[in-house]
Amino acid sequence: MKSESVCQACGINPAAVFINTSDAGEKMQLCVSCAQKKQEESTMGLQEFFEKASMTILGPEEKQKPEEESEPKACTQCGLTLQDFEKLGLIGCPTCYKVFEQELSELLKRIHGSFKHIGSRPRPRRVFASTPDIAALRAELHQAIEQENFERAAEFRDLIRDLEREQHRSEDSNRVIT
Amino acid sequence: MKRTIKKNPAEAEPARQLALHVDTVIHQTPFWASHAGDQDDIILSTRIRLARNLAGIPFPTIARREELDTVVERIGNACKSIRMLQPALTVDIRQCKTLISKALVERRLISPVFAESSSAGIAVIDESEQLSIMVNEEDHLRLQSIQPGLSLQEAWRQISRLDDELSEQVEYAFSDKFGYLTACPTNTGTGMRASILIHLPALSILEQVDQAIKELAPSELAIRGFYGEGTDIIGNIYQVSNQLTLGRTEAAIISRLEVIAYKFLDLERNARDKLLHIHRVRLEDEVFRALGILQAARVLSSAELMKHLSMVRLGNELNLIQEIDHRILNELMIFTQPAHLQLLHENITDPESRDVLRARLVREKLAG
Repeated sequence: MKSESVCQACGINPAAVFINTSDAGEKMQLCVSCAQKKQEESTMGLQEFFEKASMTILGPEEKQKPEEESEPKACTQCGLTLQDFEKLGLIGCPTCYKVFEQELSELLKRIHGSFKHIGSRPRPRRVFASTPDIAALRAELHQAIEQENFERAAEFRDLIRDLEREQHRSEDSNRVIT
Repeated sequence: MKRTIKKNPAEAEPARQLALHVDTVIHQTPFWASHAGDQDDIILSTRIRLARNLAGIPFPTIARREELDTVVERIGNACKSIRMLQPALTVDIRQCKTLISKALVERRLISPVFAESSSAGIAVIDESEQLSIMVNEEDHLRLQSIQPGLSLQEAWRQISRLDDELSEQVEYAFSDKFGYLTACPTNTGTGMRASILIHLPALSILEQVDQAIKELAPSELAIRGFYGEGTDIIGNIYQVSNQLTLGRTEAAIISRLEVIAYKFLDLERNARDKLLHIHRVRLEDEVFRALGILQAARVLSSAELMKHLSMVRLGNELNLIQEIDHRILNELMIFTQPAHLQLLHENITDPESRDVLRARLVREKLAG
C-alpha cells in the first residue's frame, strides 16, 4: 500500500494526482487544487490532464484501514480494484460505481465540483429532464448558503439563471430543451 | 448570404455494402462544410458528443471479446430501425483499411484512437455526416452531431433525439446519483462534450489570442487544436469545449459555452475592425501575400496551406478579395488532408508527391 503523501506544491493537502512535469518523465505529486492551478497555466484540457495524470482516489482515511492491506476491495462484477483504476485511469464497469460509490463520489467532486447528476435521463425515466426542477435547485442553493459554501451557491445561482433563460428562450422559439 | 446549398448525394440502399458507401462519404462535402450556419464567418462548426454505456456490461477497455461483440450487435441492430440514421454507412473498424479510417478521422467522424482499434467496434455514420456513432471506443457508445457555424441548440436537438431513440431500444448504464456512467470519470454525469471550432485570424495578427483565451476561457473550458485533444493549433482554428459534465444540466453547459462563444466573436470582430481601419495596409499585405502563395505554390504542405488559407478566409470575409464561396474554402481544407489526397488520387505514395498534388488542387480552385 502507498504511504500517505503530501502535495509537493503547497505542502498541506494530501497529494491526489501525479503529473509529468517534463518530457524526461519527472513526476510531481500534487493535490487537486494545485494540480488545477498548474493545469490552468498550461493550455492542456482538464481531461487530457487527468488522463496523463495517474489518478489516486484513496482518501487519507481509506489508507488507514488495515484490512485493506490484505484484501483490497474489488468490484463484484468486473474485479477492478482501486489500484487497477489508478493504473488504468478508467473505471471498469457500471457496477464499479456502486462498489466504489464513496471513493468515486469524492473523486467526481474533485473533478467536477459536484457528484450529483442533474441533467437528462434515459427516455423511459425522462421526466425531470424536460422540465428542469428549478425548485429543487433553489433548495440546494439555500442549503449551500446555509453551509456557507459560497462557491457552490454561486454555481447553483448561475445554473438557475441559465435554466430560466433557457426556458424562456425555448418557449419563445417553441424548441424543447431537455 | 453567399453560401450555396448542396443536396447530399443520396444513397438508396441501406448499409452493408461497405466499399460503395465509404466511397460516397469520402467524395462528398459534409453537411457542416456545405451549409450556411449562424456566425459562420468566424465559427466553422459546432459539435456535441454524448458518452453512453450499456447496463450490465463492462466498459470496452476491460470487456471480454464476447461482450464487445454483444455491444456491437445490440447497437448495430438498434441503429437499423432508427430513421435518422437511414441510410447510414456502417464501418467495421477491424476490417477497415488504414487509409479509410484515417480519412474518417480527418472528417472528425471517428477518433484517432478508435481508428487504430483492433477489437470489435463499428462506426455508424448518417449520409450527411451530421450524426455519427462510435461503438466500443472508450465507452460503448459515443454519439456525435456536427453542425455548421454556431448551432449548439440544433446539435443538441439532434443528438438528444438520437439518444432518446437509442435509449428506447437498449438499456443505458445510468444511476440516479451519478447520471450516465462512463469509463472515464471526467465524462460521468451528462457524458456531454460540446465544442465549437472558431477561427481567430485577426486576434492572431494582433497577437491577442493568448490574452483573449486567458480572459475568456475559465478553467472549466478547454482550448484545443483542430482535431481535438492533443493536437496542434493550425490555421488559427481553435476548439473550445466544456470540460465539466457532472452537476450541471446539458442546457446550462450549452448556455455557458454559447456565452463564451459570443465573447470570442466580439473580440475577433473588434480585432477585424481595428485591422480594417487602423492597420489596413498590414492586413491587406497579409491577405494578398497568402493568396499569392496559394495561387502560385508548386509544393504545399498541410500546415502551410492551413496557415495561408486562414488569411484568405479572413480577406474573403472582409471583402478584400474577389469573393470565394465559403464551401470552396471548406472543401480545400477537407480534401487536401493526407489520407483524402491518397484515397482520391492514384499514384500518391509519398509526402512529397502529396504536397505537389495539394499545391496543384489549390491553384486550380483559387485561380486568380
